[in-house]
Amino acid sequence: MNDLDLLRGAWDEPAPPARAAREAARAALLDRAAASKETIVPPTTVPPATETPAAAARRTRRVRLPKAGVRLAAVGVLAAAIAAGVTVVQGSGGTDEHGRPRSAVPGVPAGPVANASEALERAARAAESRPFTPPRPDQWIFTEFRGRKGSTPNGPLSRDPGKIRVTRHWQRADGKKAALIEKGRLEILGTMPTTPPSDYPSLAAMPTEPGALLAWAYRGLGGLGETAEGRYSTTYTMLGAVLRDNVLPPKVEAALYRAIKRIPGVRLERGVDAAGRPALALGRLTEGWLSEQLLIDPKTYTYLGERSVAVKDHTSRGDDGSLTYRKGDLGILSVRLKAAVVDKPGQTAP
Amino acid sequence: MREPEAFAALFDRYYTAIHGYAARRLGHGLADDVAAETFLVAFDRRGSYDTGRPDARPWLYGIASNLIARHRRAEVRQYRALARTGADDVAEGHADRVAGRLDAQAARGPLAEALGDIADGDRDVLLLVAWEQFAVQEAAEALGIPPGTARSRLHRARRRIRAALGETDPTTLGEDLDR
Repeated sequence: MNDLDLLRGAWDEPAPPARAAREAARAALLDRAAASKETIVPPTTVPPATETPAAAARRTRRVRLPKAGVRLAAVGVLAAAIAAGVTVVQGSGGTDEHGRPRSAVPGVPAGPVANASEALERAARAAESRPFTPPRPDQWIFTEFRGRKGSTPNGPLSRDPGKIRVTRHWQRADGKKAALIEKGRLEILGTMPTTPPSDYPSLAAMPTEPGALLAWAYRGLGGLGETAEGRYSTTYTMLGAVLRDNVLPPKVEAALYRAIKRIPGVRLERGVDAAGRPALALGRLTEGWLSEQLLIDPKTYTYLGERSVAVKDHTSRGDDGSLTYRKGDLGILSVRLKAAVVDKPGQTAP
Repeated sequence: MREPEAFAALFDRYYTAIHGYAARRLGHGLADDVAAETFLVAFDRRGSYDTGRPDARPWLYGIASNLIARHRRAEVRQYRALARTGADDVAEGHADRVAGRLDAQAARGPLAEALGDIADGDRDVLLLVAWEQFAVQEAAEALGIPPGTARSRLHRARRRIRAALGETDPTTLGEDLDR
């Protein structure tokens, strides 16, 4: 036995890599490879329209509009001010002693993401790695948002940071009651079926395979899904709304991020700051002028909020006059502060 | 190289080995990062990969070595800790030991101390040869250095290792030093 053999024998055979680490590394590689081709992979399955016109019409009425209360006539009239000169803060779990980034989430690679696909895959993996206890039917799902308010309905947001409001919402986990604060008082309301669903039982039953989830979403679009662009745009908004408004089982949340990954035209946008916090923004251009963005926390890859920004000047004309956006105007800025399961409506922490 | 299929195949073939190499030098936590990044870097540099090479292994180990070098202080600190305790809290070991391995493991303390002292470039060559069983020529290719340089680095590192093992007889030095 020579010195090299001794050196080899003195260290145990290394334990095999953890499965999660291996899968994360493999997915990161394939994402980078796929993105480098700069081709957009269309969704594999676009289901045929099997609904009757009546059913489709019913669904259309139930299509949930973006939270800012935009009417259908003004779809896309939602936009924002890119804070000038904001730098990207793309980090992770801090840095190690050499100043190299360290991952904050087990199984998620450290370091900056290169593209939308990588960012969404990390969000999916982070979702899968979070502990989760499903809510009991008598518990409530609580969400809290902070957003800016504009002076014109559907118009650009005010640049006045004083006009920030915090909204809180509760929805019982059986989906039958909702609650909000109205004039300082807690109001309990009934609920209606929505598209996409907003009740926990329906959400927990959504497909967890990304292709199947996308197919499921396309089936629910009614008249908005008649063109390819209509399907992509509406589905992007719809899946974003499901992420925004709910506390979801990890597999469902991960599938949502992976389904969004397959929607053509979603890009990683840089230089974004949401309400003072750094964010990764996944943007999709609507109607050629508005970038609709899903915001993800750059450290933990959890859902952070949404935002829309006009990328050029735009005037839209509706029945009630016209609305003008300047390049850089914000249409939506909503940051989710809390999403938790609580025992009673009005309660803001578990 | 046809991508991304070729890269998936490369990953499947070498990920465990690269991870193990990084884990022995840096521990499991950093090995996750290094192994993952090795393949991303490889992909980004695929344009400069010489497709005439029969084997991507030296190329991948070269990238991994460069990434490991960024964690030099962590690596050395780990050898020092191992030298003090003799315990391997890094790569959780397997219990089954064969006869010769008991001797080898007893030598780990002094070996770890030596590894902590060896110059970084020398250690890169030594560990590729000892742990990954690279030929000197392959190690040179991996690290992008001339074969003669690799040979002299290995020679220097082995002197230090042999000294640590208490080998003082100069006649045994060099018998298989140029492997």
